[in-house]
Amino acid sequence: MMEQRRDFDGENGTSRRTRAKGIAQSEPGVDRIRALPDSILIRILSLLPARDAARTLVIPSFGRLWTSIYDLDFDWFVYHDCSGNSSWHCCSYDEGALSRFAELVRRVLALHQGGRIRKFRLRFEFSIDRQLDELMPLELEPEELEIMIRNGGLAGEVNRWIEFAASRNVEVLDLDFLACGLSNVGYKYELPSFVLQSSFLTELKLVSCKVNLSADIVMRALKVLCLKEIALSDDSIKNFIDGCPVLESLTVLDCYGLCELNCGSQELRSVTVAPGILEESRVKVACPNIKSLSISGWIERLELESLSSLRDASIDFCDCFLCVPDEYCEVQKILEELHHVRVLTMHHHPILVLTVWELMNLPCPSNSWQRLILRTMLTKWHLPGIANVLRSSPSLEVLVIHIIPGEVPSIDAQEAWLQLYKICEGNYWDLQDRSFGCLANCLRIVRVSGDIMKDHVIQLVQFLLREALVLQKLVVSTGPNDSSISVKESKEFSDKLLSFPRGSPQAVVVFSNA
Amino acid sequence: MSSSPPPSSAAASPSCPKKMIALRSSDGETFEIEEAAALQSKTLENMIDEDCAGTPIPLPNVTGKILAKVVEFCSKHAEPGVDDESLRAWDAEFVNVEQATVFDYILAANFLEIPTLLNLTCNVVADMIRGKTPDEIRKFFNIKSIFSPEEEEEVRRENHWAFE
Repeated sequence: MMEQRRDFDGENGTSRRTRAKGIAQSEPGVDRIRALPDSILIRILSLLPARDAARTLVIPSFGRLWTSIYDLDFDWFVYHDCSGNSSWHCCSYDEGALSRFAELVRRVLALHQGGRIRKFRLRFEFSIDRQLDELMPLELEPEELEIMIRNGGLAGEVNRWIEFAASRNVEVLDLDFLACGLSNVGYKYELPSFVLQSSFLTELKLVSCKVNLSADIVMRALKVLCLKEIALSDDSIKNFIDGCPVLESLTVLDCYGLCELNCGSQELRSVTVAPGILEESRVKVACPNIKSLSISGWIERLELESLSSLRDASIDFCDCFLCVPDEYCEVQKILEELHHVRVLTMHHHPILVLTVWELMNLPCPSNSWQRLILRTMLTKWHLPGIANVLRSSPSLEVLVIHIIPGEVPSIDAQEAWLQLYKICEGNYWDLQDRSFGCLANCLRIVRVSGDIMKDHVIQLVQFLLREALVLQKLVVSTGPNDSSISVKESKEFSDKLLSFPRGSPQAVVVFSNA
Repeated sequence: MSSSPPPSSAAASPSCPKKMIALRSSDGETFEIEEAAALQSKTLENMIDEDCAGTPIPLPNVTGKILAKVVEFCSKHAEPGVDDESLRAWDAEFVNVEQATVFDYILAANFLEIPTLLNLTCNVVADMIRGKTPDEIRKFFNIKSIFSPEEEEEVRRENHWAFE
């Protein structure tokens, strides 16, 4: 018996695909909730969005326990449903949702009794359109306008909400003032300086707010910092790095004004950086002690240096794929800088670059990647790219391919490039005549998952089984996204898979329909 | 009295490789668990330190049926070389059980202080609650309302902000 679920989850909202929704209700008459100790119930309620936790106040078994939750998650997507809109369409100002959201936060904070808050999360669109409308007739000077906005109304309230969390020694602070709004528009909420001087914070995430760059930044306990759509300068990033001596993970996405990311700290282990579209100059990344680097966005602007300790890396692009080969010498440089990592993750745009190179007989830079993870669609436009990388990676031992749904590479109107190159139809792998070093010598494990019910997948797997002479294990699975695959389809696929000839006598083939 | 040995694995604890700890459930069944796996439980860790080795550790709050599964969980989580994705998939299967069993796991994980199992099972229950209206929650967990319809209406009205 399936329950109705109302999840107005936003772009990042994960509707947990738990098997629990299929679980039968417990036997009639047994209230198991009451049998659980309070501390457990509080733990369970703390896992819920604040509104859901608060609603349990009408259920006697929960009573007023919700007022003691230690994680407060306020996400306006429970009131603002834009899941039906395409990514192009920006939401118009949703005043109703904002006022219901603000009321929820006020009430929950007013009634909260727990002495300690571990995590505090706010996500809503801080749009000051309405405030602007009200203030316009006053004909204020820009500075006066900014002061009024900063102190009045909503901004003042948000300050008090954050103060509340800080007064309870909050450890994880996640503030997203963009939500589904248009980026880089007008006035932003200004974060009060005391946040950046907290000695309790271990994780801080800020999206689309103004940070007072002249104030001191001292967060002695901070391990994880994530900044998105924040206007920075080189000094400010340096201030963050200097002021957070135990920082382990740094993420900087679409932050205009970043030119250099220098950090020699032994503590910093991983960096994620995505130069934004407005970036004019190069962005230099020099962090000799980090183990893990993830780059995306306009990676053409990146300059990578001294990454000698790097062990794993991930590459993605932004959406605007222009098939001019010369532009991809930047990508070539980046792949050369990353040639020594052990684990490389590639998303589907970089694979398209490899396709272009393959069709022009340019090899992917030689490398010593041992584990390659591809997160990509699998269309005929991606196959030459995959062939290229397989041929250029003689040390490859593990290949993981996660297939995302999609039939055509580009969403935007860049289809012109698709016509420029002649990509053969039919089984691409049967036409491959050059040898693949890693397949003969190294490749031991292959995992394929995701949207696997496609000819391209079958053909690729057939090819790998035939050519990988030291293969130990091939696992093909449909998880984690639910797909509506019939038992019959599943069996047919599985039978085909198991029937393919294997170049490696000890290869084990596993098919899992999770 | 049945004795179910844990799945053999190469896990070696720092002190004594493959040292087995004996546990006795509330209904008298005995189970053996490798020390490395037992250390997942803070309760057991304390008891082992206190040198109760030799005689089976009595666990009066946990039945044999549940203890068997808890041993299985701890053993799996003590196995070396299991990648994150596989373990997550295994965990998901582990809690794909009847509601009553999930609650039994919670109580056992709480008593034995096994953080990984407690997190996993509490998340399952949270998932059962998330997005449901109070009526749906009550129905799902068989909770009787102590309010009369009028009283409940009153409570909702007072706290309308939670129900907007």
